[in-house]
Amino acid sequence: MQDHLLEVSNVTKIMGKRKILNQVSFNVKKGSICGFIGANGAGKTTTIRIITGLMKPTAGTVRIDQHDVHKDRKNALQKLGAIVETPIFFSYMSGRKNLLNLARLHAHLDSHQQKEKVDEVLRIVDLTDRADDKVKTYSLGMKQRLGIAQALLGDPEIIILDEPANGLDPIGMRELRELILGLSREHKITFLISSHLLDELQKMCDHLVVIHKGSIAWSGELKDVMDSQYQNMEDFLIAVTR
Amino acid sequence: MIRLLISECERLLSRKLIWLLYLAIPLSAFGALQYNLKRNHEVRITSPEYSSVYTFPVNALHEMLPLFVNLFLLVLIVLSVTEEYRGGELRLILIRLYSKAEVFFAKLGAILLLLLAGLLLFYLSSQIIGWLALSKVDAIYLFYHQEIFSVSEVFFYTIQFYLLAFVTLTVLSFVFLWIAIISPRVTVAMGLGIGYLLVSIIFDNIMGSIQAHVNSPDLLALFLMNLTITRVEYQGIHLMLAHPSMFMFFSLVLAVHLLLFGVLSFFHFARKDYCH
Repeated sequence: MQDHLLEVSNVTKIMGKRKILNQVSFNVKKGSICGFIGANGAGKTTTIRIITGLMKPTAGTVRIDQHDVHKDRKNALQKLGAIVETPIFFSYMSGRKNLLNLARLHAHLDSHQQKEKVDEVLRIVDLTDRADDKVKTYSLGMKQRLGIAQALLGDPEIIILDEPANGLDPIGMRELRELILGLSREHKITFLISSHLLDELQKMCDHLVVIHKGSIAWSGELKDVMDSQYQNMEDFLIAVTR
Repeated sequence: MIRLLISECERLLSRKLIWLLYLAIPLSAFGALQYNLKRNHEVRITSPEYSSVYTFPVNALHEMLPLFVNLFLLVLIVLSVTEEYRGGELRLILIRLYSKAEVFFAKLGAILLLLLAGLLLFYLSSQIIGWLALSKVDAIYLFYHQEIFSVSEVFFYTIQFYLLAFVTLTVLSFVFLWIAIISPRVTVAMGLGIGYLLVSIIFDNIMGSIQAHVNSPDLLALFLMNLTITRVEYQGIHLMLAHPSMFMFFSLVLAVHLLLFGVLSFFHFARKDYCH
């Protein structure tokens, strides 16, 4: 049985004269919550854009459940839900209408199922009460939850979140963490979460991938870091990116 | 692909601005009526410029094409493309199962469907307004035709005119698509789009003035005078319906625009990385 849901192999991205990513390789195990950590500008968002098919790699491959994202896009992205960068929506529509508009793009849902699915994901992210308000009235935390709701529309096996905690207050961060942990536990969804916030990842993740200046500096299980010689995550991160 | 097309239409129709534009269509037909009523006092009843119940839908569209209808199209495209492309909302669509090429054609399809609905509304509005405000005539004269037309022939001519106007606007939409994709902001896209229309109209007028001062017009002058889409809209459609040779010439002008801006807009949208 294939153990890895996401396989990133030797991905290089050159933009203009700059090498943004250099031979990036890592895997994400089925059912895990994998933190993707690196400083600003390390290449996290570019990697995520390549994984989600928004960018093409100069070299290398990305596979989701063994389907190549760039050659077998439909089969690969069928398993994927994502929020890339900030959660942006069609602000002139309500949260529900946004989700209904996007649910239409999932071929396995007929119109009745689309409505049911939207109600279900709104319930999961606890936005039912505000579903009919315009998105422009939502707080950032609510937009993040709506972002997760849209990612859930296609019944994904893996969800990729790009800096989900950015700009959230402590309560918003806690709500988001509980939502992610709940989805992982109850719906067996695999997560890849990029962040530069060590504490937040430490509270959620069981695996970690460290990216530094466009290359993978370390990847493995979080418990290995905890069991290692380093006093804390910060010391570990400084050591592996030195 | 149908789902993508419906999704694009649904988003556009969720905008209040789009409904305001549709609301402005009967008003623009009414504006054309005011102009035509005034002109009817200045021209003879045998002039093709004279608007009757039968010719008003064509005359009204002929007057509204270069400005109002083109701006209607520009707003549709800027809202559908620039705002979503530059604002990042397009990510929501592109991370799903559809390729950028499919999204490009769905956007184009939605824009053209809404444009077609707009043209239909304009036709119905001008037909109703024409029936209420203009007189019937016994003999109908059309631009660049010597013969007198019957009511049924004018109806057929009107359908052809609207179809050719739609084709011309389809070609123009590729120009606006390219502008909408390369523009960093909605305001820049609107400015560039309006600028393109103004430069085209100024170019047409300069070439028209040069042509008027040349006693024996050569092919080059004639060619340069009829190069722009605004020229096709203003004069070309009537000429295309009158002379087969002009039909071929203006079809070539449209084909060149379609090829050039079709390739440019498709390349920018579908082939480049999406970095917004």
